[in-house]
Amino acid sequence: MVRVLQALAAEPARWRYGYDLGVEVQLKSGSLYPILVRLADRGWLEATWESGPAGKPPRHLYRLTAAGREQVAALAAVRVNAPPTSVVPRRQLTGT
Amino acid sequence: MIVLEVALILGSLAVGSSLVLRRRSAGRSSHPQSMDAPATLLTWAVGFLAADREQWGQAMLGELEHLEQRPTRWRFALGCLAATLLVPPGQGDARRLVGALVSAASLASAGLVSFALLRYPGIVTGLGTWLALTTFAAVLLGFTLFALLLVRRGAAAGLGLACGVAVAVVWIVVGVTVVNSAKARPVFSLLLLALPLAALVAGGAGTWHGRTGAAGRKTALLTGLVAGLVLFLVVAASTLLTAGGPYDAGLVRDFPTSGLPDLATYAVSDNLGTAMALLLFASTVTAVLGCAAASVIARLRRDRTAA
Repeated sequence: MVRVLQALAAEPARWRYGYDLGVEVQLKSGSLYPILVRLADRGWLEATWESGPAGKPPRHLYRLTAAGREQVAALAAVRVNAPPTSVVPRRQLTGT
Repeated sequence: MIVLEVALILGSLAVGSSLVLRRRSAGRSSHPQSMDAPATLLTWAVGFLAADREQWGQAMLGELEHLEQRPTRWRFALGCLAATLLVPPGQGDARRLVGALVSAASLASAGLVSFALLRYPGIVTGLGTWLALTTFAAVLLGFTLFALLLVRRGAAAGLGLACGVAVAVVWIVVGVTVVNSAKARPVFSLLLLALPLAALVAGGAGTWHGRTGAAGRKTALLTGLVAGLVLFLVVAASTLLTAGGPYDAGLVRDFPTSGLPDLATYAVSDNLGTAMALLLFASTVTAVLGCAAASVIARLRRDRTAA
């Protein structure tokens, strides 16, 4: 969910297609859509329809609401203020 | 002549059928993309989404129609198939469900008491009984209306229902354990601490879910109402199933002075009174402690954010 929020917050004014967003955050549609639904339920995501070319159905577009942008900002602030933890490089953890 | 008529009828049917089939196949061929296997699969899958999630199904279908590569279409459709199972139910559905369940629970409670009055008419001993029954009916009506109001005002319906049932289960398990075992092993009395603890957890969960104290308090109130109703239903139903048994020594001792016609009537009357008291007591305790926990946790969250 955080990755989706961050991707949407990178260009908050821009409307995104679901498929493109999934590719960007490397999430399959099975994971992406439940996240989008939860974000919309919390009022952090707004959606609109874009009428497609002739013979194609309309396409759903998404972007963060003001509340969603605030949430991303709060999330970033929490991460900045969080006490430093002992970071172990991934290679050491996995032994590779 | 008959042969000619039959041939004409069959011929007309054949021509008509072929025209209809040709028109249908022409209709299909004008949307070849929308009828491929991934689209068919996804159209079928989104049909299972709740009514208030319908637009998400349309969003998935719309997105699929803009994908050209067949493997990509398959991957996307299969992912969306999983998504239709993982999409959380809409609040609208949960609200309707909880509203219907609370109403049904109230009706069932009234039904159980009505059945008890018919089965054990000796329960009614005078004006006091009718006053108690009228109060009980008013409480049930109040509970139902208050629950519906809470749900309409945005209480987390699903969470309130789950917490209410969980709190009722805790009360039943603790109650049965303490009543049956606390005399032999007094340490079991400590289990009574689980009753306020369950209410506190429910209030905390409401605030955690709704992120504000107000949301947590609404959930705590709904939890209290549901817990009281579930508790009443369980106690009243088990009483009627067992004719108020098993009869303990105290019940047998007090029966002669009760003025009731038989021991079963006395036991059922006694247990229904206990169930009605539990309905009010468990609901009040759960709601009050839950609201307190919701407010405290919201305050702690605010303080932590401010710090």
